[in-house]
Amino acid sequence: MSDGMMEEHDPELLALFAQAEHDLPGEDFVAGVSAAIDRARQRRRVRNVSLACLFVLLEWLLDTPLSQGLGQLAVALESTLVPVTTPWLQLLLAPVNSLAGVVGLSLLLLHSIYRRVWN
Amino acid sequence: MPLRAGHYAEGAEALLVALALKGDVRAFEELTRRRQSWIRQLLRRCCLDEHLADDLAQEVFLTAWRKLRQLQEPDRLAGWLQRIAITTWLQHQRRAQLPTGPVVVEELPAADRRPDVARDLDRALATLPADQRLCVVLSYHEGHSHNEISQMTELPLGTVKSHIARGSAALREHLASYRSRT
Repeated sequence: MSDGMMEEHDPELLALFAQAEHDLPGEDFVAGVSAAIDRARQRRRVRNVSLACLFVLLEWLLDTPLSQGLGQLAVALESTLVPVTTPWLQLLLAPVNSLAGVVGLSLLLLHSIYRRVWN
Repeated sequence: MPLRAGHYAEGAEALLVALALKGDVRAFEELTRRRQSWIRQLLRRCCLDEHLADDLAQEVFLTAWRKLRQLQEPDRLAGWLQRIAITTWLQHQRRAQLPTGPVVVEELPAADRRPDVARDLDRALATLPADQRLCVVLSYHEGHSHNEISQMTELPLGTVKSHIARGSAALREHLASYRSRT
């Protein structure tokens, strides 16, 4: 029983509500719920299989352009922003002196701004 | 490991919740079996329509099955289910744009199988506007405090108090013939 019973309640109304209580037979209802759960699970299974098929189909159709695009992206990300000729300086600046480095640092910065704003 | 067929009926609720979380439908069926009467009666008192209440109750258990992972503490299943039931009812009310006023008594389904007290209580509840009825049911049927009702229904505390006061007065008037019997 919760605090509700501490508040003002008409005892006669409480008694009437209690008298009106009766157990409802549940087997049909439980069967209905089980059938609804089965249908929901089946729908989810069909959706997952459809998504998987769609993914495979897209992967098959876009195989060549995708691999070419990814290759070009990898090359672009590796490209240096500022040409450095000294080998040791080149190594030292490698993490930031590329498009990938700038993208990575930008993402870190955005993440920290997001955390400061929302926390 | 799933329980043996006969053991579900004896299993503790928290254990059944844990099994249902692992996808054991029979454990969830047992939970439904134990809680269905209470949830259906709560919804029947709210909407005063047996068939609609049962449909909504089915929706409640289906939602519970889908969102079971959101239940942080398995021993709080009852309160969690009740919240889903109230949300489902309020959403249905908004979606179906049900009249918020009293229900016309003649429209209540004939329920000859039910005890008279239940029928008369439903008839008396039908005279209350929907929000007032929900507050009275949550207070008298479920034993919730005004604060809890305010949180559940998202109604201001003052409104909840006035709904319960007015609703109780109206019920007392409609059920005056029972006063000497109780």
